[in-house]
This record gives sequence, C-alpha cells and structure tokens, in this order.
Amino acid sequence: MLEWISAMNFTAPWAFSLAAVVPALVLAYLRKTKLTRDTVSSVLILKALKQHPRKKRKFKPPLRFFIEVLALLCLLLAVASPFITDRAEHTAILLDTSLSMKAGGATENRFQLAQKNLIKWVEDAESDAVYTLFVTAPTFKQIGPERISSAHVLNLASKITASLSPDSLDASLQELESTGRFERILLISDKAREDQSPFESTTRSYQPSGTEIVSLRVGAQVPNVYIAGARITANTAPTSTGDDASQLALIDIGLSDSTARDVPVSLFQHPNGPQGPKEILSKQTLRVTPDGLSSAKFPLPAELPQASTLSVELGVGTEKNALDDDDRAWLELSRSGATPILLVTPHPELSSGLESLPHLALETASPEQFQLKRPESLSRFRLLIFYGTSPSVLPNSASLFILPPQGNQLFPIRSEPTLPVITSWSENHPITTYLNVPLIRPERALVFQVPYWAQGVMNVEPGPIVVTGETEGFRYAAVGLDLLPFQGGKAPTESVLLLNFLGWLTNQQALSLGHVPGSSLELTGDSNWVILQPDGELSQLESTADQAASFQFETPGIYRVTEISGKTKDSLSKTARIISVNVFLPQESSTFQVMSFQVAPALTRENIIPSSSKPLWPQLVMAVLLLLLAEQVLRFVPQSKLKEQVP
Amino acid sequence: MLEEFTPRLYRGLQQFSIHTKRKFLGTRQGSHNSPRRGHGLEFADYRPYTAGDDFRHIDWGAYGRTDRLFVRQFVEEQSLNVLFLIDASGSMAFPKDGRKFWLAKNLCLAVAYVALSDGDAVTFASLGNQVTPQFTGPQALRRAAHALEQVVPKGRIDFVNEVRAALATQKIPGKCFLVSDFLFPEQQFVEAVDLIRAKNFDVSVLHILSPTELKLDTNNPAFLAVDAETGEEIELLLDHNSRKEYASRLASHVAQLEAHCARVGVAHVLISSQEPLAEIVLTRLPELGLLR
Repeated sequence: MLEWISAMNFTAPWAFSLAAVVPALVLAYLRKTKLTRDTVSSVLILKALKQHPRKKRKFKPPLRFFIEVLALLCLLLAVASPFITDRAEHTAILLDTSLSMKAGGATENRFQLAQKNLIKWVEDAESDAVYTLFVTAPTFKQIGPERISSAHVLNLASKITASLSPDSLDASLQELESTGRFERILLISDKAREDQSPFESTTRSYQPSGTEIVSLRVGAQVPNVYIAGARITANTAPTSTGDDASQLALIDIGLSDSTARDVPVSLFQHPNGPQGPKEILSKQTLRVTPDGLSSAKFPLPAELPQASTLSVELGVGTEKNALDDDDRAWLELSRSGATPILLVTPHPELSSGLESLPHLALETASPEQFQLKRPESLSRFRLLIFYGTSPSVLPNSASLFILPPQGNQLFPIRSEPTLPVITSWSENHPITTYLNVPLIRPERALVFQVPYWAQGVMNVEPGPIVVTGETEGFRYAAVGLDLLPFQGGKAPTESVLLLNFLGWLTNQQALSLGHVPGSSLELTGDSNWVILQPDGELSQLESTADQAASFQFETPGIYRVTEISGKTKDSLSKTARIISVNVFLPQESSTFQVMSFQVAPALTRENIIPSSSKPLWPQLVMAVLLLLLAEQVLRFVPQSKLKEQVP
Repeated sequence: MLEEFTPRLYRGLQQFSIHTKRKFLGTRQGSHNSPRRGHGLEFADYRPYTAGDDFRHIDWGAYGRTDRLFVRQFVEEQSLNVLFLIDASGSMAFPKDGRKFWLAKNLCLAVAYVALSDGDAVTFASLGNQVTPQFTGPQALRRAAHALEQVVPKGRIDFVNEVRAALATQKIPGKCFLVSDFLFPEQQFVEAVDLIRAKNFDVSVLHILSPTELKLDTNNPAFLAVDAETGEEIELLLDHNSRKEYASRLASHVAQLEAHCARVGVAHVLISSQEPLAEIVLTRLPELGLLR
C-alpha cells in the first residue's frame, strides 16, 4: 500500500488548494443543523427536558455529513489527476531492419550482429526491466505485446529478419520519444546520429527530452555494388556503330567503395514471364566509379515482343559486395513507359536528379520554348513543373510551381520572410504523407496568397508556403521551397516532399512512391482490382469512393494491376498497370558509408502523463458518484420515531 | 361545522342523557331528578298530612298501618343546567392542522345535543373569548354551532380567571364540562377544577391532545421550539434519550391531573384529536359514565 502511494503522482496538484473550501462547508453545515424554528403548542413539557446549550453541545453530525465530505475529498483528488507510474524501467527497443542491415561481413551480417548486441545488452540490464520491441522497416511497427520480459523480447527478436525496404529512422525515433511511454529507447542500427562520429561503434546515450536514447551502432564499412535504377527509354543518340535500336534499357549502377571497379552487367529476357527461364540478350562490362552513378545502356532488339519481361543482373558475386538483393532489377517492355513530365525552367541543370527517378520520362524546356509550344503538344505531358517561372494562365495539365517569380498571376507572392520556420501543416493531406515536416528547415521560403479554389497545406508564421488545389479538372500546386535539384537520400525530407507532389498531381497513375519492397500502392475509386504478383499469385482488392484499397509490395519483381470492374461511369482505364518493384535504394546500398539519422528537437514534457502510468481519476469519479448516491438514499430513510405510548 | 353530525350520530345521541352524580335544581321541568319534592313519577318520601294537602296523595296504606295520615312525596324532574368551558387559548390552535380545537368544539356540541334533546339548558363559554347565551331545545344546536364557529383560539389567557368569569354568568349550578389541552402548570388546573366544584357544579374534564403532543414526533433532530402562547424559545437537540424523557414527563403531567381528579371525584378523559367524534361520544363517554 505504501509503495502504491509513493508511486502516485499528480498532473494538477494545484487542485489541493481547493481543499480550503472544506472548512467553510463544515461551518455552513453546523449552522444549518442548528436553527430549525418550530412553533409548538406549549413548551411546558419540553422545558422539563435536559437542554443542550449551543456551546456545550457535542457536534454529532449524521452519516450523510461524512459521506458528503468524503465525496468532496474524492472530487478534489480526481481534479488533481493522480496517476501511478509503474516503477519497472520500460525500454523501447528499436531494431533497424532496413536493407542495409543485410550487409554481410565475413561471417555474419549486420542484423545478426545487432541481434547479438541486443542479447548482451538485455542480459546486462536489470532483471525486472520491461521492454517493447519495434522494427523500422518495411514500416515502423511494434512487434509483440507491450511491456514484455527480457526473455520474451529476445525470443521475438530472434524471429525477425532484415527487410528489403528502406526506413525512416528519424521519424520512428521521434514517434517513440513523443509518446513519453518509455524511460529509455535502445536503438540498434548501422546508422549514426548526425553529430556522432560515423565510425564510432560504442554506446552513446543522449537525453534531449527526458527519454534516454541509447544508440548501439553495428556494422563495419563494407563495399557494395548495386543497381540504382533501370528504365526503358527512347534511343535519342544512336551509337557510333550505327545501332539504330529505337529503345534502350538504361541501367544506373552505383558503387559504394573507395576505388573504381569493372562490373559485368547482363540483360536477360523472360519469354515465359518472370517465373520462366531467362535468355541472355546482352552483356557488357561497365567501369563503375565510387562518385555518382554509372549508366549501362543496352539497345533493345526491335524484334523483341511487345510484352517482354526483362531483367538485369550484376555479375559481381559476394566478394566486395555486401548486398546481393540490389544486384538485380526488373523491366517490362510493354509498359506505357515512364510518365512524361515537362520541366520548364531557365536552369536546365536542375533536371539532373529528376531524370534518375524511375517511371519518369523527363523533358526540359526554357520559358521561351514553352511559350512557343502549341497547347496540343502539351497535352501529352502528365505533369508540368515550372521552376522559377510561371505562365500567365493555368495550363490544361496538372502543374507544379516551384518558387514562382514575383509578380506571377497564378500564385501571387505575399512575402518572403527571413529565417522561415514551419509552424503548421495539414496532416491529412497526401502532400505531407510519410513526411517528417519538422525536419524541413528551409533557408528561403515564399509565402503565397491563396487562390479561392486552393488551400494552404504548409505554413510559416506569415502564411502558407505550400498551396494546393483543384480547378477545371486539373490539380495544381505551388511550393515556396527550393526542391530542385532532386537529391534523393542526400535531402530525404525535401525529396519525399517532391515525390509526394509528383504522386498527388499525377494521381499516382504511373509515379508511385518508392516502388521498393515494403512500399504500398493505393488504389482509389469505386472499382475491383486484381494484382498478379511476381510468383504468379493473384490478389483481389476492392476500393470505394470513400476508402482506397492498399496493397504492399513484399518482393521485387513485376506486378500487374488490373481494374476488373468499374462501378461508375468515370472509372479509370481498364488497361493493366505494370509496376516494377526493385531494390533501388542507393542510400541503403551504400554500405561503405555510414548513414546518419537525426533526433528531433526536444518536446515539452510538462503535464504529459506517461502512458505506462495508470490514471486514477476514473475510479475517483466513480467513487464520488457512488457516495452521492448513498447520500441521496439516506435522505429518504425516515428518522427513527418514538414508540413509547402515553399511559 | 356540523359536518360529522350525521343522522346516525343524531339518533345515537338521542339515546343518551347526561348523567350527574347528584341532583340539581333546574329552571323548568325536565327529565332529571331534582332535589325538589313535588310532582313526579318517582316516589321520594312521606310527610305528615297538613291541612290543604291534596287528599288524593294521602297514603291510605300507611294510615292503615299507623292510624296517622301521611302524604306521598315524589321526586320532581327538572331540567339540567349544562355549562361547557372550552379553552380558546393559542395552544389549542397547534398543531396547525386545527383538529384539536375543532374536536373540542364538536365534542361539546355533541354532548350539548344530548342535553338539548333532554330539555336541558346549555351554555358555551370559550375561555378567553365569549360566553354564549343559554340554548334550549334541540333546534338550538345550529345556533350554538354558529356561535362556536366564530371562535378562533389565540393568545395567552389566565385560565383560572377565565373560568371564574365564566362561572359568574351561571345562576344555578349543574353539569360542567371543562375542555382543554391543559398544557399549563398543574396548579392552575387544580385551582380551576376546585373553583368549578366550589360553585357546586358536577365537573368532568375532557383532556384533548394531538398525536404530536402525545408522542414527540419530529424529523428535526435539533430545533428551536417556540411556545405558541408565550413566545418562549427553547433550543433542543433531540436524541433517543430526549424523546424518552419527553414521554415520561408528559405521562407524569397527565397523571398528576388524573390524580387530582380522582381525589376530588372528577371524571378525567384523555382524548387524542385524531379520534373519531362518533366513537368518543357514543362509546367512550358512555363507558366512563358521563352519558347514560
């Protein structure tokens, strides 16, 4: 009992000051009980009774008085919001299960090393500590029940394997820290905190907000060669040998190492589909350097059937190659191809990062060239991106306006604040999906006046810096942040924001967010869907106008998504969408470098009841109600009456 | 006022007559034996014949036995003077249901009807208020009821002096009913009863109390009791002992009144104001011998 009381804390201890009103209530009660005036026929007999002068009278309050005082005290206690904190130390274990954790060492990969470190750490910890286990990929989620023992957590951890997906370690860590549920977060990862020495492998703990974060960094530098991207593109530059192939398979290859090497690259055809045998189409050796990506180009024979499944493999083996999951990629010839996008900017060099995005057929044009284009020629572009420029009227295509110029008519600039800080954003908007907005710290931002058909999505102090809307059947967005060039993993938050824009503006038709294992495809509209997976299995889904269907890609390969039946007249196209899912994760594949993660700014932890604590106010409120009920019952119980009879 | 005087009650009352312990002279012929010898039905005594006596009254049997002439004397029946002394002080108005004074008035009217039916004369004296004229004949009951209806109990009275004043209005003694709650010191009661006896009245005491006076019955454990007549205030915190003590005190007070009545041969009847009127006059009073 004493232990229970000593574990009690209060959210609003100021409520106890209200107890000063109790003496006043007692006084009022005393006065009330004494002064009922009653006229009687005669005090002759009453006078003879033993009288009780007010001063000498003993205060004998009835039971109802004590019940009322007790109810009042319970109410005061409930207002003070007591809670009991579980004394046992509660640790959240966050295991990095991203692709990079599969990087192999001589005898074991990073994830196996992480599991060993976890075992040692848990065994060295206090025996009565409790844990909750989380993984970071394919999605951040809890594994097993809350508050489990060390034996249980080790059992669960032994059954987990690293995934083929990337993770957002920053967001996972911030989410854990913000709950306030844990005294400690144990992070086991091959990534290091941004201000930490990348090769430091010892335990570091920091307490930015009261929760201790212990980081166990595992894994040594290991070289790796990987495929960063693969696409079919038009052959706009025939080779000097006179190859007149109309299409090329363009393969981007990255090297995470200190020195360049020659990498054999082979292109295969799968005449009987992805599950059938493969036939080599072409092979070449590419000199790959550590800085940037090197591209292998494979002219595609004209006689290739329309619906052809192709695959690319790197012939590097396991020597000096930490991961083999990123050494293969899938291509589909009959795909409608990458989404045609036109970038209109006076700075064509800004297109560099966008060109590397899969499923994107990017063309660039200067503002002057854009003005010369005929409207009919623009209709083939699924999306127009205007950087630093703006037409005078809204185009008849979905459009993204990045840093439009002062004086533009479409999204007038209201102000350009110095040291802008993002203060609020719409959490339910597709633009902010998967986005850790607090990590966006722009050096420059434009604040817009919002058109009547649009809404602000992301705001700094003076106003919105991201505006989106839909009018005349097309979607438009304006962003006052510099999102180009697309830097991918080097600026992950800005990259996710740009990809969100591309996805929302094109209605996810061909541009999917991260077609990597672990990512999901959202199917919208009132329709039934069938998805043919790489292993030949079929999945059926149903989406409605109010609720989209979601499908998660688990393995690399070619997925065919077909809309079987539209329920409304304006259903989407009935042709199958071909989605290639590949392990194109340059950041995860760069196992020779150490990725970093950020810890978000400290949260205000005042008046936050740790969720491991048990609030007591519901029980106290129930006690108050029961006491008041008892008091009311006693009011109606008649006072005892004299039974003596006059002789 | 006479709501409870049903035909059945009237018929019941007509069967009775007021009983007295001794004979009283009346003002006219009635149905009660008087001390006077004269014409009547009941033989009273013999007396020697004197010249002028009605020879029809000579008892020839006595002459045959004694050779002397005697005349038979009869008890003369005369009317009875009935006086009702009703306490109209403030205590008779409490509790506020008004039942106590109502019962006192109606009880007196019912007994008065018995007297009026017998040819007796009835007078009502509301102590602290008024003395009615004498009523005779059963038809006078309504007039008597109307007179009593105007009486409202209030204020404080000197009980003994009021009794004395009421008695002074009576020329001849008779039967007296003293009706009150008698919630005053026993000495005043003794003085009043003795005063009435001194005037040669055959007095009977009708002691009316309400149920809340008989048993101290209140939901207030603590209250300020205020006397309805004197305004005297007493603070009380009642508990089980207090209620027990009240019952004992009341019983003692009533016992003292009864004891004095027993000493002086006065009938004392304790009545609850909730008792039905018919039951009191048709059952209880005859059982006690006040009506026959």
